[in-house]
Amino acid sequence: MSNVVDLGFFDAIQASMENEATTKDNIRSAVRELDRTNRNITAVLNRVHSSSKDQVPALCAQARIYFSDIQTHISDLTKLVPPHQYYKYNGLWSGPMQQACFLATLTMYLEHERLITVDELEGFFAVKVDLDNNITDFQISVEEFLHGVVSLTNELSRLAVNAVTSGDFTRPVRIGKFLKELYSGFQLLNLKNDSLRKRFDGIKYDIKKVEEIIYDLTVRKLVVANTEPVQEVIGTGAEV
Amino acid sequence: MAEHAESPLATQQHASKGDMIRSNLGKSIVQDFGYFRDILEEHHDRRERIIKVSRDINNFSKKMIFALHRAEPKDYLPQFSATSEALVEFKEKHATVLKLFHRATIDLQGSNYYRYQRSISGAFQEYIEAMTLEYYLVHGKLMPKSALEADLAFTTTAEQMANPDLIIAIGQSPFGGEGRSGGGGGGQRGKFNKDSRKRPYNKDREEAPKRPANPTSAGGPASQPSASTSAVDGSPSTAPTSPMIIETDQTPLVPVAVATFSPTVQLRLEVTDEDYLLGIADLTGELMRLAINTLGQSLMPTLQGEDASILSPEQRVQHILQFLRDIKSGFDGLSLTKMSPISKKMGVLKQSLQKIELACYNVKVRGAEYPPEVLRQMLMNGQDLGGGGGGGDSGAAGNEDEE
Repeated sequence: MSNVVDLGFFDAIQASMENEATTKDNIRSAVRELDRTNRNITAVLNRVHSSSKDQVPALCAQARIYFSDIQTHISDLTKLVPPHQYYKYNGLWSGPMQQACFLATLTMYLEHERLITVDELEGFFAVKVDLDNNITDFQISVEEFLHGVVSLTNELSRLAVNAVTSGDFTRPVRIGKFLKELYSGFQLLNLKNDSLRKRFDGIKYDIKKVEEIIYDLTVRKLVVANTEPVQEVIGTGAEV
Repeated sequence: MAEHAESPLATQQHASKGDMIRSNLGKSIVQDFGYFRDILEEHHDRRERIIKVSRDINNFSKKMIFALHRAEPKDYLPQFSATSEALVEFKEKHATVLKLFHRATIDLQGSNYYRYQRSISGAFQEYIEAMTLEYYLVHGKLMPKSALEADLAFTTTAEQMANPDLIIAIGQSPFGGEGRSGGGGGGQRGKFNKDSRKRPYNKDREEAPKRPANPTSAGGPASQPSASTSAVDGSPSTAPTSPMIIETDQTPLVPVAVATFSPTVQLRLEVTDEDYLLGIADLTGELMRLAINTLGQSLMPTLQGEDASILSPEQRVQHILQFLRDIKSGFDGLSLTKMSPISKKMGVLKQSLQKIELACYNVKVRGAEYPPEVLRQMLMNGQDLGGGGGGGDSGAAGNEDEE
C-alpha cells in the first residue's frame, strides 16, 4: 500500500530547484555588477545637463571607458545562462540591460546627434541583438533596445531644458526634430498593451515639453524656427 | 529546451532572415522601426498562437478528466476496455491534445520554450493533471515525469514545420464543435486563468478569436475566405465554433501524401519541474472527488464484490488516501518560498486530504445511523455531518473542483 509515491522523485526535484536557485543567485550577483557600472555611467552622463557643449565630448569619452566594464559584466552573465534558457532568467537582467542600452544610446546621441544603429549597439556590448526572434546565445532583445530608446527621449527632453539654461538655444530645436523622427518610428510599431506601450505613450509628453521650449525660444526670437539661431541675442538672455 | 534535434530547416530560414534585416538596418529611423515592428509582431503572433492552443489543450484536458471520473474501475482494470464509452472519449481527447501539443511544439523550439512558457504552463498543468489521474487509476502510482515527456515527442515533417495546420487545425479535429461549447468550463472555473488574468496581454487574448487570420500567413491572402469551407469538410461545425482559430490556409487534400516523402524532425517538449508539481497538486483535487465518489459506491450494496481482482471501494478509498498522504509528505519535504505558486496550492491539498479523512470518519461513525442511500447523498453533497473541525472549509474546497 505504501510507496505509491517514490519519494526519491521529490528529492530529485528538490535538488533541481536548488540548482535553479543557485543559478539565479549567480545571475543576480552578475547583474548587480552590471547595475553598478550602469550607475557609474549614469553619473558621468548626468553631468551633461550642467556642462557646456564643449565639455560633452570629454564626458562621452569618460563614459566610454566604463562600457568596456559593461562588456565584461555581460560576458560574465552570458556564461551563467544555460543554453536555451535565456528567457527563463531574462527577467533578472532585463531592467539593467535596458538601462545599459539607454546609456549606449545616449552616449551615441551626444557624440553624433543621431540614433545608435544596431551594429553600434552590438559594438558597445559585444553581444548581438536578436533580430531572428530565435535566441541561441545570449543576445539583446529588440524590446530591450527599444526601451532604451524610450528612455533616451525622456532624457533628451530634460537636456533640452538644461541646454537653454546654459545658453545653447539650438540644441532644443535639434532635439525636437530628432524626437519627432523617433516618434514616427515608434508609431510604426504595433505595440501590445505591455510596458513598452505604456512607455511609448509617454514619448508624446517629452515631445510636448521640447515643443514648448522651442515655442518659448521662438517667441522671444532667441531662435528662428527651422533656421539657424539668432546668435546676437544670447548675450541678453539667460546666460550661466 | 523544447527540442534537441534542431530543425535545419527552421534555423536556416531564421538565420537568413536575421542577416537580411541586419544588412538593411541603419539607413533611416523609419525603415529600421519597420523591421523592429516585424520582429515584434512575429513574437506577438507566436504568443497568440500559443495562447490559443493552450486554451484548447486546457479544455480537452478537462474533458479527459471528466471522462475518467465517469469510468468504472472495471473499465480500466486490468486494462483499458475498448467498450467503455468514457474511456473511448478519454482516448480521443487525448489524441487531440497530443496533436495540439505537437502544433505548439513548433512554436516552442529552442529558447522560445521559456519565452512562452508562462503562456502554456496552465495548459501543461491541466494536461498533467489528466494524465497523472489516468496513470493512477491504471497503475495505482504517481506518473513519473519521464513518462509524461515520452508522450510529448513528435515526429514532424518539413511540411508540418512550415504549416502547422497540417497537424491539427480547423475542421480536422473531430471534436471541432465541442471545443467551443465546453469552452465555458475554463472560464467558469477560472482556476488556470487566474495568473494570466493579471498579464498585460490579457486584453488581446480576449479579442483574439475575433481577429482575422494571422498576418504571418501572408503566403495565401486568398486563404481567409476559405476558412469556412474547410471547416465544413471535417465536421458539421462552422468556423467560429472550431477550437482552432489560427491560420486557416490549409488545403485538406494535400498534406499526408506529400508528407511521407519529406525529411522529418524529432521535436520534444520538456515538462518543467514546476508544472509537474503544480499538475500533481491539482491531481489531488481530482483524487478527492474520486475518493468521495468511491466512498459513495461503497454504500451501494449492489456494486460490492463484483470482481475479486478489483479492490473493494473501501480498499480503494484507503489506497487513494495513502497516495494522497504520500504526495503530501513529498511536497512537505520541498523547501518552498512563500512566493512559489506551489505553496499556494498546498492549502488546497491539505483540504482535499482532510475532506476525505472526514468523510471516512463519518462513514465509520454514522454508517449505522443513517440508511446508506441518505448517507451517500450527504457524502456527495460534501455535507458536514458534524464530525470534527474544518468540515465547512473542506466543503468549500470541494466545490471549487466541482464545476
